[in-house]
Amino acid sequence: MTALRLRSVRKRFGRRVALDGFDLDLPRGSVTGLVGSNGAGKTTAMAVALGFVRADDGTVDLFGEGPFDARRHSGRVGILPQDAALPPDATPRSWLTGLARLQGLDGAAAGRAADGWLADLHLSDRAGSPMRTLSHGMRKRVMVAQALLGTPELVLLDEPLSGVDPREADVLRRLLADRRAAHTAVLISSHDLSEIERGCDAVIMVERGKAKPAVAVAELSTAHRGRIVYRLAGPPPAPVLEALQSIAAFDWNAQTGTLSGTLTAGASADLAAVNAAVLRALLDAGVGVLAVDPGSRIEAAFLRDA
Amino acid sequence: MVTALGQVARVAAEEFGEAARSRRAAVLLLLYMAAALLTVNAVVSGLQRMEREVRSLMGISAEGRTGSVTEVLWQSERFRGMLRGAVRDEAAVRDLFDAHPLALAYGWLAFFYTPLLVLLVTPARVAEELAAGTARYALARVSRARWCLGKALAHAALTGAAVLMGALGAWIVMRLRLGAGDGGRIALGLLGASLRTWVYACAFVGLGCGLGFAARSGGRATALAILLLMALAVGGWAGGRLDRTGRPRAAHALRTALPLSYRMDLWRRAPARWGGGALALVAIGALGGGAGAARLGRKDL
Repeated sequence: MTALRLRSVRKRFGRRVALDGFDLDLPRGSVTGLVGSNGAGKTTAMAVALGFVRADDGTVDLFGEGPFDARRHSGRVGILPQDAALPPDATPRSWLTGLARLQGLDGAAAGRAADGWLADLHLSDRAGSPMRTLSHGMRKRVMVAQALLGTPELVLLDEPLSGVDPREADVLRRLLADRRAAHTAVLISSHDLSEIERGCDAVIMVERGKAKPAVAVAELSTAHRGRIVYRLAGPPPAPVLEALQSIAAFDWNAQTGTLSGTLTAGASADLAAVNAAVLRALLDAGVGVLAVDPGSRIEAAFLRDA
Repeated sequence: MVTALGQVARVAAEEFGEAARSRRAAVLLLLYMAAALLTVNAVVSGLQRMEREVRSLMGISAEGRTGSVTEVLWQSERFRGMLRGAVRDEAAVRDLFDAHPLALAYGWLAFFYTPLLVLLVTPARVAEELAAGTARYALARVSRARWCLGKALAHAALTGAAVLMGALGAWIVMRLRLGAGDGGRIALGLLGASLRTWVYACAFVGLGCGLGFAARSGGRATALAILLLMALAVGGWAGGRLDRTGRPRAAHALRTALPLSYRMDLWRRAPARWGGGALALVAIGALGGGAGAARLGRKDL
């Protein structure tokens, strides 16, 4: 069953077209990543879904009940809006409790919900501190906590992991996996493509106000063979670089000391075989290899499609 | 399932708490109280100086409590005649003489300061919350109309609290400067003046919220609020001018829209007068707030 459906949504801000026939289907019990360039329309799509921004055309449907209506959907939808500041003088506990009560929880249940999320996100010790005293990563976790309050059936998170340290990012991934198990539909917009790859079931590419059909992350392993990056001790000789082009499209970046290759569908199917061939060529030429990074499959797909 | 009223009350409670904690509201409240107290102090000093001169001129003993001569003056036919000339309404003058003169003086000051306080705090707070995106967290849970109503109620309550605090401060100053006499009567008078001030300020709360809902930033909202204050002052002046130039209908039409026109009604004893005045002030506030809420209902956040 679909939790969120957008059809042919169009939105202009003055002369700029933000959404140009945007379609999206978000099934329940899934975690979907939304990736695209800056200004591609990801944030606007989320804002249209929650009624923060009015679409010029097209339809928005939540749970098969029509567009977002706070009276009907309060507490059933959680959102982490991009660039939305927290009230500087409120404390995480009082603020979360207030929001939980606003969506219908009674005082005791709201307090329990706030305390529960603060504990899960390792913020209990700062529950009574004013927001302005929290670090960027802590504030981001408070923002995520408010989106997950209660039992939302649909959660939209815009850049939930920016500024969050790896340990807390891992905690958040597990919490989102729990939401998936509870049949919640989760949509994550992020520029951190490796995070999307690790935490999402499917990915939707957005470009110039249009969304491409969702692709299962598991399918990307065959559809997109990825991007591989070698950090070298020195520049590869020109004949070696030329020879490597027969394996994949390789670029040498002298500034970063990296040799990057985007492996297309026409390249060898076996990443290990590609790696072995490249390493052999480099080592035979006497080029020191400091590190090998297989890169993100989504990144490869994104760079190819963008 | 939370009720509509419950959601409005929750928005109001959150806003009240947040505004009470905010530094700007605290600073402006302190400034408001300081201005009120300094003015009350100046009024009392002036009163004492005037009494000393009257006692000296009339050869009255200096042992009488401060304020007693003022009350004698206040009740004198000559002073009433002066007030009649200023107010030009016999019934209003009779009602005004029921109030304690010091409470009346405080009321007059509060009627001047409170709209300034409201229009310097409310529009900027509301507009900043919208511009910073903070409002979106609540607006994912509550309709824009309920959110607007909750904000307006919170600011009305905040204004009431500020006015009461100002009155308490004024009462303390009066007690310290005037001694123990008449403390209870002055307190009651100040309470009455505070209630009237609060009703008067409700019009400005509505107008201020309306500006906050419609403006794109806190700075713009404050600029619009200052323009509004200037427009109201010009409107009051224009109403008088139209009256003097023989156009009473135009003057009446203009005054109907100005909160200033209903100030005197709030001091009247007849329920039809103070009730009508209070209703008109609340209606002005509701219209201003409603217009801003309607604008917010259509705009992208």
